[in-house]
Amino acid sequence: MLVATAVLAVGLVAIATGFQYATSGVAVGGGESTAVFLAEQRVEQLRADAMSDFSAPSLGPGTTTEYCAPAIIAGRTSTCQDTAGAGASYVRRTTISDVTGSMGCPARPVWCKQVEVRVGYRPVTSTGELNQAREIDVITVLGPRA
Amino acid sequence: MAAAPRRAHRCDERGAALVVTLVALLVMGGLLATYLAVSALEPQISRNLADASRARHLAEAGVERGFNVLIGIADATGGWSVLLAGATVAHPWMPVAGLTNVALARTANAGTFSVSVRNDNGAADTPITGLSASTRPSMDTSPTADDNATVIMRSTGTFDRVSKTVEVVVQRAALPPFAAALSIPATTLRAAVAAAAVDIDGRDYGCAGGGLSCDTESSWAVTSNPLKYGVSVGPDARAAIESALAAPSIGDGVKGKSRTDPAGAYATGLETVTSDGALTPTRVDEFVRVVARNPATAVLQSTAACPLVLTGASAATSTATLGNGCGMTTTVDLGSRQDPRLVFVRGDLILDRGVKGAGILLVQDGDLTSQGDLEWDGVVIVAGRGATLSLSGGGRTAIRGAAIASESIAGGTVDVAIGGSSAGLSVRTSAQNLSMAQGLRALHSIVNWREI
Repeated sequence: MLVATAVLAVGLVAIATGFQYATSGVAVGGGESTAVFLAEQRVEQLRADAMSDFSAPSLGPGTTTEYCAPAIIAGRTSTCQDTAGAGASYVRRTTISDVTGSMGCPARPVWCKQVEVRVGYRPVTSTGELNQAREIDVITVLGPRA
Repeated sequence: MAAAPRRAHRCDERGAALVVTLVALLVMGGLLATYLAVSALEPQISRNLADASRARHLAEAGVERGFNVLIGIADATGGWSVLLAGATVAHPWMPVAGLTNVALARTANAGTFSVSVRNDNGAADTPITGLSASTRPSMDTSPTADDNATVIMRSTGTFDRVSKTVEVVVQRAALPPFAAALSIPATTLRAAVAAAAVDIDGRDYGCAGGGLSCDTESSWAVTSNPLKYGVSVGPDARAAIESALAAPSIGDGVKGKSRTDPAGAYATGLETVTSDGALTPTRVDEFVRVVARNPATAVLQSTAACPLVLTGASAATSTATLGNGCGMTTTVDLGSRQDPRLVFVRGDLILDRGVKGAGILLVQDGDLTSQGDLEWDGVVIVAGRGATLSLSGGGRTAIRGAAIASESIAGGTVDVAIGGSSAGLSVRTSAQNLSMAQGLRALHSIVNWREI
């Protein structure tokens, strides 16, 4: 019985450790997927703006930073805010720059806006460390429709 | 003697707990192994998602830049045959020069995109282009000759061994063929020219300087480009226009290709008035329909009760105020030669005071009435039902490019009235401005999109 108890204890510790490791793997994947969706959401918002008004203020050159909560992303509702709030574990930086003078991007009028969306987050790790910042980015070019 | 079997039974149970423990651990270990396997897949799935997303947006970037390149290229018929040279049925895709393995990011290994085009010359393309042998325009029949201003563009984004390809159909609303500075394709024409003089010139004008210097009319000079007629009308409307231009003071203001000696020097007067039939109301209506169908086209609606009035300033301005007298007022950018615009009005449009712009000014199913100065670089089109081009007041209308007044209704009448109080009408052919108008973004559209 003593031996069984010892074996069980060792086995359970090993399983718990493995379970924790596996859970962190799933969490890392989930975190990255959420980051991708947040980046795509931003790109699609800007693409919609470009379709209707290419000179919209939201498409002006510069960098904006938003803080996003990992909530359900649906429609045009956004879980992102301009200020860091409670529960906001994703940082979304959008850099927009006018591209002129290269192939397909004439000098005038401005027909190309390069959009770079970076979403940073800190995944849950098996050791509980929160200093392993990760980042995904999406880069594209937007143009006017008329 | 009875204790012996009990001792034996107890001896049989020894180690059972260990066995049960091992079995339990084995089961839990199996479950854990499965969970670990799944958890190892999750980061890979999300990494693939991130890479695929990046590759797809690179491909989208290629679509935008490829679209811009296509807007800037046109052959004589308004198509893209120049991009298709060398294409074959077996190898129809032709890379767009300058858009192969293009990197967007400044950092290394951030992915690339490549863009290629092909002609729509197979029945398999009908589902994505909507064009077939029986449609108008019809689909093309050769991989190298683009006669319908429609091509299929493909952009492939590649990032970290992941590739995504986006395919779109790009179409251009090709400008109608202009045989003359002023084209009036109609069976019946009611023309009244009361102004002291007109300047309708089928010789080609260009401005070499560019920029603001081209705002001055004297900067535009006759080029060596082929002549066009001064006025072109429908076959049955020639008598009406000739009657309106009969006075020598007016007729002398009409210049262009001679109808009796087309290869010779330019002619004046009725000699440069033709009815060659190159431009038909059907062709004009087709162009207007394609432009109106473009989702990017903003059609300004004018009604009989609330007609649109575009008000400029004492000095002609491209930033005019658009109102309808029924509470709607907005500012409209009429464009410049560097940034031409499409101004599409359905219904009557009245131009008041000084207005200038560049691109295409299109009035469908209504009257275009200019009460002040109008300077337009590009094309002015009045088309549809009940088309009227009317110049009144003391202003002067100067169009560098071409002008069309067309009537859709068979047997319908086009009215062209140049009032005696107006400072006259000047329409000069300009291939330079026609090319600028053809390069309008609003004449191009992406009509399909699919990821393959």
